[in-house]
Amino acid sequence: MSRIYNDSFVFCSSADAPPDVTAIDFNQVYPLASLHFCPNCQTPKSPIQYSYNIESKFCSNCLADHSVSSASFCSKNCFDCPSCGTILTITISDHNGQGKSFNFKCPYCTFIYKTNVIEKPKSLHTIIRLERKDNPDKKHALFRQIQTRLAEPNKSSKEINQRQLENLSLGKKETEKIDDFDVQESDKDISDIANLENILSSTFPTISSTTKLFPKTHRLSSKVSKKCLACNTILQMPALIPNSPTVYKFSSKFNAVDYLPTLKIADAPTNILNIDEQYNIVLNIINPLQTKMTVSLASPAQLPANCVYPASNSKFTISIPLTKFTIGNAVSKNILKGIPTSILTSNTAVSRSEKSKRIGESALAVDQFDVDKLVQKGANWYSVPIALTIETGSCSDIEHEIKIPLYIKINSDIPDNLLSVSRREKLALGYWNIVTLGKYRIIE
Amino acid sequence: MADWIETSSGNRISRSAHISGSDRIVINGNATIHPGVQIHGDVQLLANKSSTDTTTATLGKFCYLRPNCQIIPPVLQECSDSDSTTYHGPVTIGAYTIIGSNTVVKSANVGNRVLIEDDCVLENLSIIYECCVIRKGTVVPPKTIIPPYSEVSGVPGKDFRISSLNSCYKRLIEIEAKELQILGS
Ligand SMILES: [Zn+2]
Ligand SMILES: [Zn+2]
Ligand SMILES: [Zn+2]
Repeated sequence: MSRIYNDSFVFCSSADAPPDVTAIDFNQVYPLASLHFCPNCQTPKSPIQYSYNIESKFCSNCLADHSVSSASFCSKNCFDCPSCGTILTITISDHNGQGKSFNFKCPYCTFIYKTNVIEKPKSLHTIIRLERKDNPDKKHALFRQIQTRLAEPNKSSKEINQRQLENLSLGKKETEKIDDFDVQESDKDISDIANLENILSSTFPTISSTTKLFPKTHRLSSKVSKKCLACNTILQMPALIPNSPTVYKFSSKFNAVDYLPTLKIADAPTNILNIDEQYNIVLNIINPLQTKMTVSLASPAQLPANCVYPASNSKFTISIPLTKFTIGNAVSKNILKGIPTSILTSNTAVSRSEKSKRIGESALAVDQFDVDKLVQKGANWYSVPIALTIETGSCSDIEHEIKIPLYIKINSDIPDNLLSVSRREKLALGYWNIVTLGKYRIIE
Repeated sequence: MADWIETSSGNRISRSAHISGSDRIVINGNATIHPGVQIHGDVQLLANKSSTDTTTATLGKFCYLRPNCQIIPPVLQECSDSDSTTYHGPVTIGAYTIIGSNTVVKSANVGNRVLIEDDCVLENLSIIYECCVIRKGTVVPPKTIIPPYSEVSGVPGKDFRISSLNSCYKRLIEIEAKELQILGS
């Protein structure tokens, strides 16, 4: 069962106790595989719940290590296309021994850039910087004006303070807009800048803007460590291997997918839901631990309003006949045994024979309760039914997206790899998992 | 006649896959090659004095090639007026790497445990390091190097984006490839 494409979407709450279902913020629901797990807090951690620290920096293009530099771009000859971001290819033209010029060409789009003839050796970064200075684009022209004004002597401190304030607010409010801002156009509705522009143009002749584009510096890639914001426990630490920027190993990592079960639904209805019909959806649950895990499932008896979008006047009821069970430990050696029966296909001989074997076995087990017939279990998985019924309501031509919130409580012995970092004897936590069933029209 | 050829090393290859120059393609076992897949193994390699290896494409174990994807060894030298031959370099696809439907791979190297979704284009001489996810419809521009543990999406000049991928994906992509080999879809 795919650990990447599934229905494990976890609500990461920053509150101490998981909230009521109506308080679930769907903006804080993340795919399980994208989450870390804090072994100390014993909760899944979303990207806004941990801090980052850059442990090493390297250029993905020339593979040079830049960890000791404070720059965020490659200082070697790596440049990006200003139009599309592709790494530019660089060739050199010789001018009869009088000097050299450098030609940048984008291998993806049509961008080309040719430097002036360079007589004395200079770094490509210096060449580009000087040529840009002589031919500034709108943004650089404006900032150069601000810079010059600030450096200007013989102004009263009050006046300078006023201007610095204006510049500061300009920087804060207008950094997004400034790319489009034309210094020559004063009728634009950017009042803060218009003010500043007046002050500037009274002293300086207006600098004409240009649309000329220059090769861009190539941003560095990084390896980062992550720490839980609540307790500072390390969630991920890269192992730094000298001179091997593209070898990426971790000295420690705590990922939610290794501790929380993976969920996937099967047999979900498609496109249409009939009023008064009961739909039995299969929920497959996989235990990732090397120890057995007790799982309890709960869902609100009726879907809350925030789980049906757009809102519907129908009443959706949910019932789960088996809500507590213990799943065996993971069987990493035998992938086939770890795939729930409802996921098996008839595409390959291996999958076909396993599927018919399992169906045969479950048909033999006749002396069981009705509920148990719907429940299947394997080495490290359980499949339980969820019954969805639309009790009342009216037909609707629009499609409603239906989500089923499941409150999942897990309990197990502490996994071996958490022994050294956790003071607790059990792995025990509860969280909301949001299953998106699909989009449906409701008909009678 | 069966629709699939199953080899002793566990490779499962559709009879309607188009594999040219198969004597120059190495497939390392437990690979799945779906209908309509094209592997262009019969290209002219640029002469390399230090090597007599004529292998044009290598697939690592548990590679999973979805329907209608294409693998084209990267072009090193285009044909010209004086030489009508286009010269290629070899392409290596790592183990547990999954290539989506209709995706075109012209990379020099795709690492181990790389998940490429449907409808992507990996342009000439691009290099994808280990443990990456290339989202549906992505265009990776020519010669671009994607560092390990990257998630890549979008089209250059529009919405191309490289972000970092969680460390668990190394294990997850391997499980994905092994399960796909069993399930066949
Ligand atoms: Zn913590
Ligand atoms: Zn570089
Ligand atoms: Zn470009």
